[in-house]
Amino acid sequence: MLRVALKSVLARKRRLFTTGFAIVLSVAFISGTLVITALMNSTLDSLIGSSYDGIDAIVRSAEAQESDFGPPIRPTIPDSTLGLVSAAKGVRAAAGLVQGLPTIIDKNGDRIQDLAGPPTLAFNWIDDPELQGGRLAEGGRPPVTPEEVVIDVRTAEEYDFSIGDQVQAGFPVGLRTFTIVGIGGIPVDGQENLVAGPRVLLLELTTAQQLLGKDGFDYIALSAADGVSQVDLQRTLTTILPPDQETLTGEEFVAESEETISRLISLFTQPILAFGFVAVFVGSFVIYNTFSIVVAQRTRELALLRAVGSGRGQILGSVMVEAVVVGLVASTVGIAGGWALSYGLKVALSSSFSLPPGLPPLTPQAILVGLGIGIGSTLISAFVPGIRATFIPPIAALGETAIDRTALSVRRKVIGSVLLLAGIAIIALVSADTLNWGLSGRGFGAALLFLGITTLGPVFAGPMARTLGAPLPRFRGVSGRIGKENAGRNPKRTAITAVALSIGVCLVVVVAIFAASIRATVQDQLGNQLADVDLVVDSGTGFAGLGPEPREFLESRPEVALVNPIRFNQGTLLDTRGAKEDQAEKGESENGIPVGDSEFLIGVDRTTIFEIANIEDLTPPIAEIPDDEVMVLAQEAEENGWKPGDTIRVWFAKTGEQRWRIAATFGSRIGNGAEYITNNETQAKNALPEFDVDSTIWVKLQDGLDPETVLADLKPELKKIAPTAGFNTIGDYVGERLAILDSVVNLIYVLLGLSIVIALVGVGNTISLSIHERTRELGLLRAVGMTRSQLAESVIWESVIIALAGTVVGLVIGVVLGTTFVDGIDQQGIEPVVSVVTVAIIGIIGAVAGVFLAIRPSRRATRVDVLAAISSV
Amino acid sequence: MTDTQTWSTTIAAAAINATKIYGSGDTQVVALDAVSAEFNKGQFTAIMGPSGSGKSTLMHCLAGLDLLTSGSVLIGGDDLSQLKERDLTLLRRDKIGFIFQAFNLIPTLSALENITLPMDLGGIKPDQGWLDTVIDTVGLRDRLSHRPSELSGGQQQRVAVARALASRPQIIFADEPTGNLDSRTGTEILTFMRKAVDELRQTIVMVTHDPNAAGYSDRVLFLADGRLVDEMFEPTAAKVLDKMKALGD
Repeated sequence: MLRVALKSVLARKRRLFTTGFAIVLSVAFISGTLVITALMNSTLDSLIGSSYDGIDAIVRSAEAQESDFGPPIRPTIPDSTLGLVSAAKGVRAAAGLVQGLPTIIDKNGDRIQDLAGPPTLAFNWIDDPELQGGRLAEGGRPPVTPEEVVIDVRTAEEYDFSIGDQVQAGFPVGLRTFTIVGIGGIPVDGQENLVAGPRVLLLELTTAQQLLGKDGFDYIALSAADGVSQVDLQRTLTTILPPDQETLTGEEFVAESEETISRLISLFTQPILAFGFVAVFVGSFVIYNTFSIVVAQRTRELALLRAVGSGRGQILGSVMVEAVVVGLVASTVGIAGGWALSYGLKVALSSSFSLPPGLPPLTPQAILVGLGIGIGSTLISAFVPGIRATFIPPIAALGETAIDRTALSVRRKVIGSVLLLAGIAIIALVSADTLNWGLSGRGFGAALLFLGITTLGPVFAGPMARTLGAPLPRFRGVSGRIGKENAGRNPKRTAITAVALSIGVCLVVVVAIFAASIRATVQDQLGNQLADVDLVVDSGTGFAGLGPEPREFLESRPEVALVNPIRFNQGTLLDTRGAKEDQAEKGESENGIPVGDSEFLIGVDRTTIFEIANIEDLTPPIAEIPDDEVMVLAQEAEENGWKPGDTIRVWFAKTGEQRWRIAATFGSRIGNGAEYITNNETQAKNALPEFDVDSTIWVKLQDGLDPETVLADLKPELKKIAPTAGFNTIGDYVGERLAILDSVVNLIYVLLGLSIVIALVGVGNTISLSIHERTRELGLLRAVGMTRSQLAESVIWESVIIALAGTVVGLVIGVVLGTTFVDGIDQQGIEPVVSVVTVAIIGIIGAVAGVFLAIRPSRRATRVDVLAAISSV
Repeated sequence: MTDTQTWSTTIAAAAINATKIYGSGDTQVVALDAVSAEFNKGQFTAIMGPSGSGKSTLMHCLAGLDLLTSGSVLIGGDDLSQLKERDLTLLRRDKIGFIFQAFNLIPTLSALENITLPMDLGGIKPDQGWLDTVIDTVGLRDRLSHRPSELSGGQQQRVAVARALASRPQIIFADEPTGNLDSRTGTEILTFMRKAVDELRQTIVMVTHDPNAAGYSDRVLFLADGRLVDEMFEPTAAKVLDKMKALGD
């Protein structure tokens, strides 16, 4: 029996190929992502391991400010702690470290910024080789004076810096010029070549402290004396440290850093993996369909096996063996493809991460997950057709090839309708705010809706194919009529083929609606609310912020009417509803840090903000934001039961608990969209040095001046004094934000495209298998005078109708779900926008793809041997 | 052809030294060995012969479904060997009608759509008067909107006969048209074919191995081993049966 099954697979290699294609693509995607993730993790782990190799313990502040951008940010510990721990028993050496985020300026005067990847770091040089992770390349020396710097090998190579060159860099305190005295890197795994981690500037300690605005150390690194273990050292240190400081062993520190890094990497790889799983899901529809058709085609063969005495189990076994073979072969090819893909990803990432040369190592995880998913999804998808095969009666061996003509059961109609209606009802009720289930309620509704449509698909498929094809007979005569009829001929098959496509299309439409909605919101928030803003100065993609120079310069210019610097900070809100729930669960504080909601706060100029921005529904109308007061987004205030005049508590790592009076509420977000706005003095008071910088500056010019002209006048001077900053008119600034959004959305389209390609291949698959099934009919048509081109045309119309049906259903569901989801996140201030053009384009692509996919099968249809097809059975 | 006049008035189709050889070398099989025959207009010809005699091959070649190795087939003045694939297809569509043993109809089209299929393919408007005559002759008026799956085997074959007649082709080829039918429905179909010749002046060439079916024809051609071995006019089932026995079927 196994031999029969294997022979059946080998006899139909083409079928193996078409079935396997979906698996190959999705497995390649998933394995490729896993391979590159593993490579990035191991590279960065070994980088961290190498640079922290000699550290046996660290000491740092126990307080931490949660951050949306990466690891928590901590206050400094005083210089005096260094003296304390240096003298402790078992300590061989100790050194304090400060770090911050500078912006390096290249030789052309442009800021160096990476679109992805780790931010540029500045820290101080440490003389002790155990505690200093990096090594200097031949010919360099450590920085000694405030004007000296060491830079990393990668930046030196990419931007052509060598020892003795001048380099400029921006810091919170402003722009500085240094002389390069050394080029450094990390000797990973004992290699001779120095490898760069992130871009780095190494400074002399007091210079670093001064430039980064630190009045102590971010942490102290310690090396233990001979014979003292890391744990012993940690125990000793704990006894002498004040309670607001903590100590970690070197191993713990490395593990924590690695975890932080892998979390950052997974932010980038998880979404890609998610798209891979969508592709697997869509692929299983394709596989299910192919196996159903294959079983239908093999009816006589399977019936013959039954007639000569095969048991049901053996029949199921033969189908499952085919599934295993297909899954195994396709997964293997997919894993190989994924490996190749990971190399492509590596090349794409090479500008942001320095990864080892050559093909990334294929990890066991990538192989096992790839095989598991490939074989697993094939087996699951083939199981139902396999079970159906066991019900083929032996007598079928004697009849004509049976096509699946099972009627649609009443149960299917009932269950499908219930699911569909329940889904619609939930979405409608949640959207109308009758049900308070929020976004997850909508998601649940969407899932029911999809299940309902999948179940009811076969019921819709026939009428829908006929409706879509209705105009065809009139315009395209017999070819059109036959194409139309064939598309609706096997509703189950058409439905499953189309639904696979619908899922992909639906996701694209949802993304398109999100994108269009965000676009509209960005345009509104930046364009309309900031209509009085003429110029925008920003710190780009870096986290470094702007120095004081651009603000001072702009304030001194006669063309400028108003300057409003914007600052960001993170604070922990203690009185929100979410904070209270967390406190009820975890208590008032955890490890000495208060439990609350980590929120993004912005600071603005206390008065000019009201002249420069159109703040909607300001209640009560105020003309100034006083110190220690806050403006809150009306919706946020309402959710937490606050009103103007109330006092809320906010905790900062720098200043501890603050009490802020709510000065006013405002209707919709302005500019960069925070829900809490204070004045810049309040912001500065509570901000750790990392946040104590201007991030963006809004500039209003004197009446009647043209922003373009003024910008052109100011730019040369601005660029000289503040090369780390970007200068734009508000129009260009908005355009730049939208371009970033567009590139993200385009990336998502490409990733979703994978699922659509798989679904479309499924359409082609169904068509070619159907043609195979209809050989005699095609022969008859040719015999009575259908020309090759007419026959090809009818096949193409069939494909177009199926592709269009899938696309249309996907579009409709996509529009419904996209709108409801965007509506569901309206706390973000985004209104749903449906772009008719996008929807139309997707529809046209669906139809064109139908034509494209049918070309090969239709060619095969025209090559049917008329005589062989019609000669008697 | 020197005498086109004769062609258009009396002869519908002709085979001249029709030879068909399959394979080559040791495996070479001569299916047709220099067969020459003419098929007059308004005549019902049956081609008979034992299995492997080449009767189906002859019909396929006459109908433009297969090409000869040498010799020629003429239909309405066209030499089929000179035609390109596309022209052959159009010739089948416009000048030839077909009735096959089984699987004669397109399952997705209604009876009427099946009947007008060749004309629809050519974008030709059917002659309504003739169409009505044909439909009434085969008695399908009340079944026109039905799909083949809703028709009995005999009704399906009547639709096939109607389709073959509907475009008023030069000649109709029937390949074992009663092979899949019980004898009563078979008789019915043969009666319709006879009527088509007598009343509608159609030309039919039928391949069969059923002497009863051959009995409905005007003339029987006997084939054996790819050669034309005999010819019988005004046949009866009994005479045909005797002849077939002599040929050793």
